[in-house]
Formats: sequence, C-alpha cells, structure tokens
Amino acid sequence: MKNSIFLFIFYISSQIIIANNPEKTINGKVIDEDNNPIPFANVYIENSTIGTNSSVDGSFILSDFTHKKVILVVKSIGYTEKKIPVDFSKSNSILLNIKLEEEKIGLNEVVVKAETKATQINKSGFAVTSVDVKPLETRPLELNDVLEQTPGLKVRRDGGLGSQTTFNLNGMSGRAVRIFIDGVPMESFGSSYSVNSIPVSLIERVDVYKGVVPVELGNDALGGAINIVTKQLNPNDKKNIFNGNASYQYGSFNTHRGDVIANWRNGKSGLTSRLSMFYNYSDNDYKVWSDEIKIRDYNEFLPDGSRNPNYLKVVEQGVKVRRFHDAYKSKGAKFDMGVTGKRWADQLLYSINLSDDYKELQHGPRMIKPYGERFTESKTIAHSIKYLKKDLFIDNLTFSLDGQYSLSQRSVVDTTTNNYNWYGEIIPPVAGVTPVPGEAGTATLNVDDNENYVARASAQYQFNQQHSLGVNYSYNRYVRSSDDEMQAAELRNYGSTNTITKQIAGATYQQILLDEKLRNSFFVKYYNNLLEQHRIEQSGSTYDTLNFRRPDDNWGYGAASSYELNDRVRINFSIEKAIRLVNTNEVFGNVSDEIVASTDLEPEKSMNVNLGGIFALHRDGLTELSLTTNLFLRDTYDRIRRNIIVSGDDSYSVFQNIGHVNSKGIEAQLDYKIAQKWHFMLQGYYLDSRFLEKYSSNGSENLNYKSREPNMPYLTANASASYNLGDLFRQGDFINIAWYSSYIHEFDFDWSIIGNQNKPVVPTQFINDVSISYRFANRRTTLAVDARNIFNTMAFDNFAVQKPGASIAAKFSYRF
Amino acid sequence: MIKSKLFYSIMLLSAAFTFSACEDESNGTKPGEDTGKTFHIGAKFDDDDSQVFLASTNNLEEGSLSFVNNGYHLNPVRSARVFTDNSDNIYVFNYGGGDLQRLTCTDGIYTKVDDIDVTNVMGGTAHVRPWKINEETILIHNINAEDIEDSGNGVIKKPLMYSVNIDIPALSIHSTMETWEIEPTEWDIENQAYPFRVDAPTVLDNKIYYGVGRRLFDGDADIKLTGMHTIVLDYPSLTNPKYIRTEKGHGNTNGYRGENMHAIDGYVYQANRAASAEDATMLLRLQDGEYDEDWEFNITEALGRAFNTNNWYHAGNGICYMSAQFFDAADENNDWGVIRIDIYNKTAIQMNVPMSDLFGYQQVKVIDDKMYMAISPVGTSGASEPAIYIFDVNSDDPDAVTKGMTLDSGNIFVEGIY
Repeated sequence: MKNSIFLFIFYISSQIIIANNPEKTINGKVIDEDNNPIPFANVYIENSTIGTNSSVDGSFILSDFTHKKVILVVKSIGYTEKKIPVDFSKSNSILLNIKLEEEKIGLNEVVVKAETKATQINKSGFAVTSVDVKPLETRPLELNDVLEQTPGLKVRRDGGLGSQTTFNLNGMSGRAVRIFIDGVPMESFGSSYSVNSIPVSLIERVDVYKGVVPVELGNDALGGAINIVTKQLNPNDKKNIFNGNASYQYGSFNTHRGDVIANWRNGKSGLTSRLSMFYNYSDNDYKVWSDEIKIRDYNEFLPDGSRNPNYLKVVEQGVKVRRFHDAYKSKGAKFDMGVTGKRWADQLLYSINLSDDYKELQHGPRMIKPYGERFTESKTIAHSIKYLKKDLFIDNLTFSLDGQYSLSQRSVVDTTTNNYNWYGEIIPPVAGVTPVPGEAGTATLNVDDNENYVARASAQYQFNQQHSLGVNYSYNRYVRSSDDEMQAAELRNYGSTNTITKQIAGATYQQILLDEKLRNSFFVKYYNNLLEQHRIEQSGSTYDTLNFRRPDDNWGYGAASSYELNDRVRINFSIEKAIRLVNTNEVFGNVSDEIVASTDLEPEKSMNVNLGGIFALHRDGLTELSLTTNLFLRDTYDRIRRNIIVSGDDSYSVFQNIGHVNSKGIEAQLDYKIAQKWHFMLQGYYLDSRFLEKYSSNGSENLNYKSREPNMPYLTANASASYNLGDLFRQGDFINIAWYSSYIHEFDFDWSIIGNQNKPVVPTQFINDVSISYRFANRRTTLAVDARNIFNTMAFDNFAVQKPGASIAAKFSYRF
Repeated sequence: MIKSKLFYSIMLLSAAFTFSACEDESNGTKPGEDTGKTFHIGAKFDDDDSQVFLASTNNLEEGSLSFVNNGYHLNPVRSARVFTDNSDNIYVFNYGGGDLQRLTCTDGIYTKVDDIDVTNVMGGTAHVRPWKINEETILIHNINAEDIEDSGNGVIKKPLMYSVNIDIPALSIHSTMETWEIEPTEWDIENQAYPFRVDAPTVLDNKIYYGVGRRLFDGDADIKLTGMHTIVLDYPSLTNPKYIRTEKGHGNTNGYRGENMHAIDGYVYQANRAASAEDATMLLRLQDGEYDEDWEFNITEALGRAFNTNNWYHAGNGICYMSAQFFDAADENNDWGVIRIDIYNKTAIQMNVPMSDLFGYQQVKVIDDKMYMAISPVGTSGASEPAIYIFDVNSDDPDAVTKGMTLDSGNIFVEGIY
C-alpha cells in the first residue's frame, strides 16, 4: 500500500509513463450479409467505456483491456446488434470478422442497451440536457464553453478565464439557478473550485435541469439546476487498476491550463484512491476597443505653463488597448481514498479538496475606469465522506450518505491611491489634491470567512420492476462572517455572522409502466429555512451584539413524465412548484453593504412547466435526423428585486417582492448525422418574459406592465458542423474538425418601454469558433487546437463589458 | 401697476446673474406659445436612480408629455444631475461615473458633444456632487471622511474637502481647491459629529457659500445635532476656507438634489432641514462670509404647521416656493406639499396643489411672473394625475395655481424642468 502510493506520487510528479502490462487488443472487421464492409459501426466493450467506430473498410482496433473475458458489442443503424464474448486467456491479440444482419423494419423491439448515463437521464421525463463531457475533454475548452452549447442556457461572462459568470436558464438567472458538484451546492467549494477552474477532464457529464429539479439536488432551485458530475471509479472491477490522464494547454493571452488525474485501485482489497490536480493561469490581456474605451489627456498644463484646455477630456475613443490588470490564477488538488466494491460498502470514500485562486479586477460593472491594483483572492479546504451501498440489509434497498465540511475565505484588496489610464500608466496626481484610497471608490480589505456543513442521506427502495420509492434529506448550514478593517467604523461589520440553515426533505415515487414506455415520477419537497444574524455594532467604545432569527417553512411538489410513443418519438412533461428561499442579508439587511432590513420578504415562488419531445424524423442505414424540443412556462410570483430607497440624505438597498413575472418560451435542436462522419446541428431559442404586476407597492401604475424583462437574452441560435475521420495517416488515428456559430439577438439592458435615445443595449452578435483535434494512432495522445471568435468581432454578454476577440489555444492530452 | 412691473423686471434681471433658474425672464416670450424655446423635462423611472431620462417640449402649459418610447436615457452609473444654460446647452453629471457631459438638443434629438472626467481632480473618486452656480461655472465638490483614532475619544473622522471650478461651456478646469482638512471645531466635538457633505454652493460678491451636512461619528448615538453651518471660500480662487455656524436654527443646510440656498438682494439665504417636528424650518441669511445674526424667518411659525424641506426656489421679488414635507401628513407616499413664502414680509401659505413626494425634486422654471413645477402624486391603484403646475408668482392666494401640461401617470417621477 505504502509503496503503491509512493509509486503513484512518483507517477504524478515525474509524469513519466510506464507501460508494463502487455497490451490486449482486438483487431476486427464489421461486414454485412453480403460481406460488404460496414463503416462507422459502433464497437464497444459491454459495461466499460472502451469503444470505437469501424473505419470506412469496416475495420477497427480495440485495446486497453484489464479483464480476461469481455463481451464485445457491435451495432450499426439498420442492423441488428451483436454481442460476442472474447476470451484473452489464450492470446493477447484477437482477430474477428463480425457479420451483422439487417434489421427487419417494422419490428418494434430495438432496445438501445448501451445507452450512456446521459441518455438515460434525457429519458427521465425531466426537462434536462445531459451533456456528455467526455468527447470534449481533449479540447482546450472551459466548462463554460461546454455549457454554452446547451439549449436554453446562456452563460454570461464578464471577460476571459476566471471572470465573473452568470447563468440564464429559460428566463431565470442569478440565485434562481443553482450549481452543484456531485450534488453538493457549489458555494460549498468556495469560488476557487468552480465552473471557472474545474478541469473538463475531471468531469463525466453535466446535467442541466430546466425549471423542474429532482429531489436529490437538495437546494432551492427556482429556475433550474446544473449538476456537474465528476468521474467515478468503477467499483466492480476485480483487477488492479492504475490509470489516468494528463493534459496541458497553452493559448492566447498567455493562458496555461494543466491537469493530471491518476486512479489507483487494488482489485483484491478494493482499496481505491485518486489524485487530481489542476492549474490555470491567464494574463487575460486581450484587446478591447468598444466605445467605452476613452483615452483622456492627463497633462494639466501645456509646455508654456498655461492650462491645457483638453485636460481630462477624451482625445481618442474606441482605440484598441490591451487589458493590463486582469490576470487569473487558480490551482487545486483533490485526493480521494477509500474502499470500493466491498460487501458492506459499494463505496466508502474520504476526500480532501484544496484550492485557491487569485483574480485581478480590470474594472467595475462597466468598462469605465480601468483599475490597476484591485484584486480578489480566495482559498478553500473541504473534507468529505461518501458512503454508498446497494441492497443494504434487504435486496433492492439502496442507501447513500455523504457529508462535507468546508472552510473558505475570500478577500478583496483595494487600498491604492493610484489611478490608471487604459494604457496601464499611473495618472499623474494633481498638486494639492489629496488622493482618496480605493480604485473602486472606497478602500477595502474585506474578508469573508465561510464555513459550510452539508449532509445528505438518501434511500431508494425498488418494490419491483415497475415501482420504486425514494426519500432524500439534505442539511446545509452556511455561516459567513465578514469584516473590512478599512471600512468606516459606523458601517463596519466587526465580524458579524450570517447563518443560513436549510433543511430540505423530499420523497419521490417512480413508476415504469406500459412495457417501459411510460415513466412517471412524483415528488414532494419540504424546505425549512432558518436565517440567523448576529450583528456586532460599535456603540461608543463598547460592542453590542444584536441577534435576529427568522424560520421559514415552505412546500414544493412536482412530477415528471416520459412517454415513448414509438421508437421514434418520446414525449417529456414535467412540472414543479419551485421555491427560491430568502437569505440573511435580504431579510435582516447588512450595514456594511448598506442594505436595510426587509423582514416581511417572501420567498419567490414559481410554477414551472415543460413539455418537450425527442423525434427521430428520419433514419436509414446512413443518415439520421432528429429533433429535440421543449416548450416551457415559468410563472413566478413575489419576484425579489434589489431596490434603492432614500432615507434621510442617504440611499440604501432594500430587497422587495416586486410581483409577477411570466416567462414562456421554446427551444429546439435539430441534429443531422451522416454515417457517424458528419454531424450538423441547428439550435434555436426564444423567450417571452413579461412583467405582469400592474401596480407597484406604493400604488402607482407600472408603466412597464406587460413589458419584456430587461437584461435577458431572448432570441439566440447556434449551429455547428463537425466531421470525423478515422485512419487518416495511420490505422487507428482519428481526426475531428468542427465549426460552431452562435447568434445572440440584441437585447435591452433596461426596460425597453421608456425612452428611445441612447438606450443601453447589448448588441447583436454572431461569433464563430473552429476546432480541430487529432488523436494519434496509439489512442492515448490527442492534440487539439481551438480558434475562438475567429472573425475577431466585438463580443458582449453584459452591457458595456467586452469579451475577448479572436484567440487560439492548443491542448495536448495523454491517457495512461 | 406699471411701477411694480418695472421694479419686478429689475429684480428679475439682478436675480438672473445670481442663479440659473431665472435665465429666461428677459426674453419676453410666453412659454404657452410655441416659440421654439425648448424645455427639458427630466424623469426617473421605476424608482431607479440610474434610469434617468430627458425629453424636450416647447410648451409647458398645455398638452401632455410621455416618456413611453420617448426621451434620452442619461444612463448614469448611479444617478444623474442636470443643468442648463442660456445658450441651450444641457449639462449632465454622471454621479458614480465621474464625467460631466455637455449635450445639445435639436428637434428632440439629444447629442453628447463634450465631456470631462473630474475623478482625477477630486482625488480619484467618482462619487462627487456638481452644481451650476452661474453662466460661466459649474462647481464639483465633495467631502471624503476617513476614520482616525483620537486618543481617549475612540474613532473620529477626518473630513477632507474637495472643490473644483469648471468653465462652461468649454468644460475645462478653471481652478482646483487645495484639499482642505476640516479641523474639528468646538461644536463638532460637543455634538460628536463631523461635516460629511457640502452642496448647494451659492456665489455672492467674491465669496462662495456651501451648505453643510453633518453626521454623528456613531449614527446610533442619542445626540441631537444643533446649529446650522456654512463653509465659505474666496471665489473664484477657491482659497481661504472657513467653517461657520449659527444657532438660530438646527439642521443640515446642504439640501439634496434641488436648490437650498439663493443669493437674493445682497444676501445669501439658506434653509435648514429640520430633523423633527420640534425643530422649526428657518430661513437665515449670510453676507460678507458671516451669518446675519440680526435676521431670521421662522417659516414653521409663519405657516403654523411643522414641516421640513430640502428644496426651494426663488421666483423673484423675494417670493419663493418651497417643497415642504409635513410631519403630520396622513399619506406616507404623499407627504410633501408646496408653500409660498415672502421673505421680505415673512409670510408663508400652503398652495392648493396635490400632495406628492418632492424629496428628490431638482428644478423648477421661472418665466415672467409664473413658476412651473412638476407635481406627481403617487396614486392609489394608479389613480394619479401628474402634471406641471403653473404658479402665479404675484398672487398670495393659495388657489393662484393652474394645471399645465400633463405627465405620465405611473412609476415614473418627473424630477425637474430645465
């Protein structure tokens, strides 16, 4: 054991790959009844991730086996699937000729067995897009780039790597969309282990639930949930396993990203461990040239000593400048250790997850004033334990338990009295004028300390093939204390703590009826939300602690249903009464953020409905045309909004329920595949989100009644084309070339109904990306190059914040 | 009658030199006639200070003006302040963005023609306040207070005052005040308070008078702030600052977004913002850099009802209209009315206009013998009829007011006529 760990660490640190086992391979050819080759047939090993496609001449090679006996599955559209047992006990190299019989059209018995988990989830009835990340892991992409291709989801970023990200999902955004990593709310991992930093190669798939969220994801997700599922170790393997992968990417703006994952398992003892590490760095020094970029004259006096009439005025606008203070660095390591495949535990794992990040801030919410020194830093340490057992005590009872304790800290540093221009130069100070510290207006050394406890338990009992019942409970306690020693004494927090304790209990009843054609699940959720605030206030020379407490009970319920009309049509329907709970700052206020209390604030409630379908429009031996579509409705009451109120001579924020918002929309995706070689995709999304509250709280009529909700992309379209080719230079190599275009129609930043000149608008954009990736014949090494925004157009997700122009990145991955 | 009109004209002319609201008295045209004279109406939408719009009209007396699909979005970072001059320039200060812009308007289309970023001359902060003091100058000013440890007294404040003088319409820096550390005065130490804001600057002769807002070191402390205060500087050099006080009234004198100080007939007049019904709203005056301790006008007493104010306007001849928030008003959404005061005769009457919210009101228009002010009552279930009200300056009858152009009924608040 000790030696193994030592060896394993040696592997990681040296990154020298030792290939010790003689490789087992299957060389084969897929042919039809007339002995013609069948190209692009799907060939894989049952219950594994090993698989390939046959090439144009029907041939294929599979390697990388650990078992002595495997089942080889071969299938192709229009042919009956074939399973062939393969035994390596005599030879490490097997040659096979596989003859497939043509499928009899009209028989209704084709059951696709080897569906991925992603496919299974897409069949659950929930409006969910499960993105299988594995095919993308060799490309130089961020997780955000992957998510962006999900219909109905718009990832909005403030800039390059590490920049602030918000998700718009079917017209809901902000805290209405919850992110999870393996079911644990992402906040628990701190900002350093997030969608910005987590390496794609660590991810198995991402499930995007729209509006209706299953009970297992225990949080108040009003508008939907994004669950990032990381790769799990296979507990049923009786062989010793040592494998992993490493990748490194380099690209524009001095972007470096590297990650290493290594898995180790002793087949006999079931001892399992894994180490994963990542490192991200980018200067993000991309060029920006929008109208917000104003170059001013900072010469107060002319050479003759007279006042410069152009002093502080714009001398150039929209010039190309490089961002100079936008670097991002994050790194992390996660180590899992435990046993798998034991009689008493299918999985019992302890994990420790460490990460930190550093982010320079180039500007505030708009690109008005460039900052040269302001930055944030965060770090997290998280311990977790996970236990899973199928058939606990009795058959068909699955039990899982997991818990996480994490400590994270985030600080903002802004104390400089320097000011910078867009060339990154310090603006000369003015004689006689005392500079005010803090580039963003107020000096800050704010530190947030977060403590998070998550515990989740679930049990599922399968009565028979048709019926099962599951119960879930999750406990989430989040404690945040903040302090800012630079803040004015009367506003300072002095380490005041905010605590949110959310307990969510739920039950799901699932049925599979009508010969597995109809799947229904009905669920109910109970939310208990306890808000506590301990506010320390200075009063003269003493400190008083004020205690606030508000418990809150809410119920939610829903159902999801999926019906397979025939082998070409599947209809999904789901509905949920969803809740977005209130938090401590919203209810009790926060002195240092100048938020006043709003003790009667109601949680946001929404009735979310989805009706969608998957239609195989056309299918023959060579081509396949399918349509995936979803109609959605989000009927939200008590929408929470941050308002400004004036009290005395000052203005404060207050959170208020502003009323009723109704969103309807449609998303659709057409996929056309030719012989698994070509894949064309066309995707469209339209949202109609309207404010439906006629009167405001003070009784005045809302002129924006029935207006479209602002700052929400409502018309988008994406298209892609990709081409695969195997055996290009050598047998076994593989190349993929892809083009991706995205269109976002312009949208108003503010309500469109008022005013008609100088309105802030996020402009229409059309962005094109291309990628090429090549897997070498050894099947272990992949080299991929992605070029983004190839026409170097001005790109915006948010008003007046320009995203990167053209960029290129290359990634090298190695699997061992 | 002729005599009084002549006197009135002279008064208006002299007033025109001292404050901007009177810029149009002498052009002899009536705003009811469509003469091509453009007025700008500023409005804030949905209680959001960063959604501020300007729309133009040639007629304040009849018809209607709507911001629905009409108007120029000023698009400020936090909020916007608007001023106009006699040459049809519009000045917009972007509070939070730090730039002072000059706009022009032709046939309802607004164009930004120039801007200057003042953050650098204000020590780097964009949260500063502007004021147009005459046809040549806009002042930008601020107090930045930082915490300092005072031995024995805990944390106190060190207020630093900034001011800069900008030439208009050129938008160029004329002079910059050397940052002034306001030393703690006796009265500040006694009140455990400090000056946190200056605003409403008013020029008279070679001096500039700033209204002062004070705040307690500890906002929760049970100490009553006493006195009224002014900071006086030499003008236009912005030198020789002095921080002065009177105890004739109690409350802040910086106003909010509307006018709170006026130079009238050789004196600078100033009102306080009463903190409670126990404090009277006082009008005091200053001259030669000092309070005139022999003159006061207790408006609360003259009116016979407790109220406070943060904006009032001189319509000429010592007649002023003051927005008044009544402490005993029944409807908390509509607790402001308008009172007419005569500073020479020390009389005050409440005008018969609907109650509304005038807390953030910015600007009125005075033309000939009429004052135009937008009044937007907050309705119950939308029932409100916002309009521009036309006050007959010469009449002391509470009903000497008529309804002019009507405005949008709803969650848009007209905050000024420019």
